[in-house]
Amino acid sequence: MASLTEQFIIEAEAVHSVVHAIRREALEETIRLLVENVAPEKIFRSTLGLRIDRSSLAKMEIGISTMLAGIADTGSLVVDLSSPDHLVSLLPTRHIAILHESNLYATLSEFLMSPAAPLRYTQITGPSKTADIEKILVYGAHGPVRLDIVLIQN
Amino acid sequence: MKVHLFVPCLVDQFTPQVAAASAKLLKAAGHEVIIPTNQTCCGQPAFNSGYWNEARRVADHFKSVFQGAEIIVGPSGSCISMVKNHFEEVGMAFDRSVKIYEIVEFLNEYGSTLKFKPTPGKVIFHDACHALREMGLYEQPRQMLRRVPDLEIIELDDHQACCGFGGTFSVKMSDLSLDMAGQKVNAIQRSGADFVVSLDGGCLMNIQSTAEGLGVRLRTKHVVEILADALLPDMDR
Amino acid sequence: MDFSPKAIKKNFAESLRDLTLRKNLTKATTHTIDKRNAIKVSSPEWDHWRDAGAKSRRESLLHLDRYLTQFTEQFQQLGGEVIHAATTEEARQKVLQIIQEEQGRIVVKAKSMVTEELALATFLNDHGIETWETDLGEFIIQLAGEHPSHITAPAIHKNRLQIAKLLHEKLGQPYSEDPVVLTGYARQFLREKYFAADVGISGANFIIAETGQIILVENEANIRLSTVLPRVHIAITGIEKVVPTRIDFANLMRLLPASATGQKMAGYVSALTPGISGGPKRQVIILLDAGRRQMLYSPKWEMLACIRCGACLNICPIFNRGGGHAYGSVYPGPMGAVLTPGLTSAHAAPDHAFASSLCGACVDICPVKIPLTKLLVQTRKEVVEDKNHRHLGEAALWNSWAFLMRHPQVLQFFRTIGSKLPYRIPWGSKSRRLPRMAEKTFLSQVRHGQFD
Repeated sequence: MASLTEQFIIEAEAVHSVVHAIRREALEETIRLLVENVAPEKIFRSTLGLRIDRSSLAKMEIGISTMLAGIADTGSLVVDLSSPDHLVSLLPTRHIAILHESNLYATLSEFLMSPAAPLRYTQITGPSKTADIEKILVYGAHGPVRLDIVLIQN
Repeated sequence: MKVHLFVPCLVDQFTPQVAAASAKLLKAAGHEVIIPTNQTCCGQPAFNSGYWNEARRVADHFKSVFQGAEIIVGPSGSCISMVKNHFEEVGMAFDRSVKIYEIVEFLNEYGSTLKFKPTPGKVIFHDACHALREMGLYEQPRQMLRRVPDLEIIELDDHQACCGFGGTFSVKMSDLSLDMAGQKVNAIQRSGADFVVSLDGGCLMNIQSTAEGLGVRLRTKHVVEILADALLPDMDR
Repeated sequence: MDFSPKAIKKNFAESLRDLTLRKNLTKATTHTIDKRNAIKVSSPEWDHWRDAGAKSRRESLLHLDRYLTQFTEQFQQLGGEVIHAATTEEARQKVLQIIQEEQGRIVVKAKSMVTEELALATFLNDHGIETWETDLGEFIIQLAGEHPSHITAPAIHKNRLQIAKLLHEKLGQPYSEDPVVLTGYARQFLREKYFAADVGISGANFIIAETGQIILVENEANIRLSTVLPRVHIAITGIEKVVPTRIDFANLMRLLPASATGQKMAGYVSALTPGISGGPKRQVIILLDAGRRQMLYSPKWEMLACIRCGACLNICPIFNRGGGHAYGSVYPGPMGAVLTPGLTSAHAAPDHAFASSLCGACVDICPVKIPLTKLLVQTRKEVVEDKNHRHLGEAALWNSWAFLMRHPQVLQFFRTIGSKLPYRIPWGSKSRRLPRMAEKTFLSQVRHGQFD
């Protein structure tokens, strides 16, 4: 019987997210490696209170932000729409999502009934995609073409 | 048990041997068979066409003909479904104490003493839509056919695709109906079976007639015809 | 092809000859059904989810006004506006009014079948408001000047060659048949529009009474962009879309993506209310009736349980042969065959319910257990009883038939004549004929003592 984390990783990878399960100490190094070939001015990392206008954010190659929660049975992430950095998961070409293992929930119902569930949110499952052309899956329709999940384990 | 045999109108008019086979099997299984001779139709064609007053009138006749019946059995998934599931929509439902069965459904449950002789051959089972979806008959006909030794049952790809009969649909939307029937005939042709069998005479007629029009040779039989032909002689009473 | 419900028979005759359409469609629908089946087979709780979904949808409908009121209170408390529109015309006018109040010139639009009922994009463009469809399939359809042909896959009838040619001609981009490149063209074009737009318009997959949330389900991110970037968001939805609680919603999310696109979960599921950070300053929801109450108080009320997954279209042998456009209505396939006359009248769409062999594959696949074949037959009854649609010849035929069926001796008399006919009666065509009648009916043999 898979643990919540194991299940999350399996489901997230099944929808084309790239999952990096790491220990807290390895966070900065992991991020450094993920953004290695991208010019620093094309990377935006959200920190509480840091402002960027949306047009500039849209020109970013990579956006990095921390997720509110994860849902294991579908490999989903949850971003709080009351928080200013929700656009970081939407506008840049790639999204690196940081998720703490302790914020994993088993199912959507479990998450929705928890005190953490916000009123306005988006549940993200994989990168942006479409199959409107002959049912052929294409990534990066209008949103991020690639989703990396940095899962910080306790 | 005492069983009233319902003879669907298409069977009575076009394939009486199906009713004869049904009666033979029921008797061989040890049941008393009553055949009301004033029966005509269950009213399904009118009902499905939206003529509910006419369907009601015919259902009313059906009910008076089968007055007093405790068990009603018939060789047609769609007709039995009409009586069992749809009579109530025209206010003519039988009392719940009256048990209504499609014949293979009945024999599968109450025909355990039936024995069949080896009958080498290949048959395709076509899942008639109403028998499958309204009467829930998938396993039962297959189980009955498997009781006939040496009979091979071939499953078509897409065996659950509608043959395009649909009652008056075959006349009102005949181009669509023929297209669906043609596709079914092609699939059957590729399979190399001896017979196409089903629980509904309407489907079999549609498949047979379409095949003839396309110049394709195939033979159709109702499941009870196969079973009755294979019945071991000492079961006949 | 005529896009009108009354042209359905003529259209189907045309579609049956279109083998390219058949091929495009069958490939796409089969692909989706296979994926859906894979999820169902690997989900031991599927039947439980379906039961719960069916129950929840009926609960909503049986207490519709209670839940609509609860939603309204919640949404208004959060600072949103709720508008009721009795007709599609009223809804259109309200949308236009809001855009004009806000001095809006550019609109970005998410895919929404309700907005197709309103023919909204065309209406707004005609009133000088530049309106863009942002869902890739809808964008393709808009460029082609067509109607969507499927409720979740609007461009399902087009193959990549047709799309390549279209985008090359309309966007002026270099010709390419690569779906990645083509998608990139649409992305590039529309990115600019999201930022320039004053108003974003969407439908709603569900609205939750308990919380006042508007739920939007998608894969592309075009809905997130359309509803968050512009300063005004207008959501339009049918009143039947209200669900009682978050748990009801979570359960329906087990069924919707699987049934619609064969996915375990859709890419983006957003719960929107007023108060999104950096989001719209004004959020309006229009609750549309447009024939829904009429259906609610009719024997066909269960049709309103529909969650717009499109699975019934995908499995339907008639839809797969005709394609969506043949129905000439916003909603095609089995659900469209009930909804189109249901939301309007039997007179407006007398043939839809007859474009079915009643095979029931749709009933089997519906995630919320709508008894579609029962509703189709109910609709046929309404067509027959509609005074405007009297077909005297047909009525006389059935009347005589009923008489014969009640008088077995008379029936036997006529049948004896009929059985002696020298030829076989054509059965809908020259190439298929009814078999010859049997020499003797079974019942006459029984009457003459030929069975013990």
